[in-house]
Amino acid sequence: MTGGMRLDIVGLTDTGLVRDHNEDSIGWDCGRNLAVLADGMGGHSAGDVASRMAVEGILQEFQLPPSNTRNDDLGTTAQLIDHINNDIHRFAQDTLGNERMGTTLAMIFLNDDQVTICHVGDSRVYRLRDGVIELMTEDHSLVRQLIEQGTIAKEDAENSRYKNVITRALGVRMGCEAEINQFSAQIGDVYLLCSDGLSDKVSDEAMQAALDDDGRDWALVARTLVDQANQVGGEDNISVVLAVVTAAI
Amino acid sequence: MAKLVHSQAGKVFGEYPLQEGALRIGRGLGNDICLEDLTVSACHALIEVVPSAYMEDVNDVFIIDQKSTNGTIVNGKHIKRHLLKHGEVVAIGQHDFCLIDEETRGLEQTMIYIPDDE
Repeated sequence: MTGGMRLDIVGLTDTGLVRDHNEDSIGWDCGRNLAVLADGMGGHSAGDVASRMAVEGILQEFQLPPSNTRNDDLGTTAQLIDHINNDIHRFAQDTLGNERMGTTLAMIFLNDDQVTICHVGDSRVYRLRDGVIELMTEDHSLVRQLIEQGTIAKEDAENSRYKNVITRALGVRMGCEAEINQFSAQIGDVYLLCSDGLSDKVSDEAMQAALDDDGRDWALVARTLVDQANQVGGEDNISVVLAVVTAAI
Repeated sequence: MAKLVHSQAGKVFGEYPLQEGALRIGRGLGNDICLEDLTVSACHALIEVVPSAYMEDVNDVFIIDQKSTNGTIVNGKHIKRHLLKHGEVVAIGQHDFCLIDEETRGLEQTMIYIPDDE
């Protein structure tokens, strides 16, 4: 059990309006308070395979650390993600030869009163707390790197031609370090995991408004967010997973 | 290959293929693109085409203002140096230059660049 808290989880993945197939994968397990999302890339359906391998690998192999584990669980989770990275990379080499295949990863789990967020690439995790949305992850993206180097200005980031270039992904080579952070959970927190098909299209303010809706029908909120991304083009696959911190009964 | 489409008041005047190197734009006769327009400075702006430091087989196209009197405008803003992307329009005096760069369209899809020291 998790110290009186659990995650209620819903999710939705959508091909969007332009692409002919969906390379995103999502999954969750309320029993382990675990949610995961991956955005694959690579030709000839390789992206679908990479993102599915990441999500299925996490769902099959992730074990919730014992109660009151703090920093120790970060190590085992990092090892698991690294192991899945290597599996995807070996699979790519065996089946695709020189062609690259890779995937981002965004994942959260609740253990006691701690939420752990792991991510690789530009899939994001946001948190709504007390009506205010906050981005909890920093994209592993070339644009962010160029801003840090001073090569481009922050206000030009959204317009940059390198907007869609990521600097970390699962499956691209042996060894991958996920970024892992822990936060104290509060009942009522809403965690939003999403692919860039959503975050490129829907502003933080619009996400906040959708999440802070009084209705609190979370499946409907997920649908609303996907619809909003489609209404402004839907060029990319769009995925949303919502995990709501709730009092355990 | 990337190209620059030159237009004025919506009417196309010509196209300039962009090879690696520099292209000078201004009112003076020594420019690669010479504009008869009193609002354009003698040496107004420079288009610089350089190989991308991050992606193979992709060139970066920069527009650099040469301290012109009336400025060089991209997306409604005066710029000094700006990395152009496909479809962006540079306004110089009464003239517009639109970058058509099919190579960068590929970057609309997510790509991976892993730095060696990552």
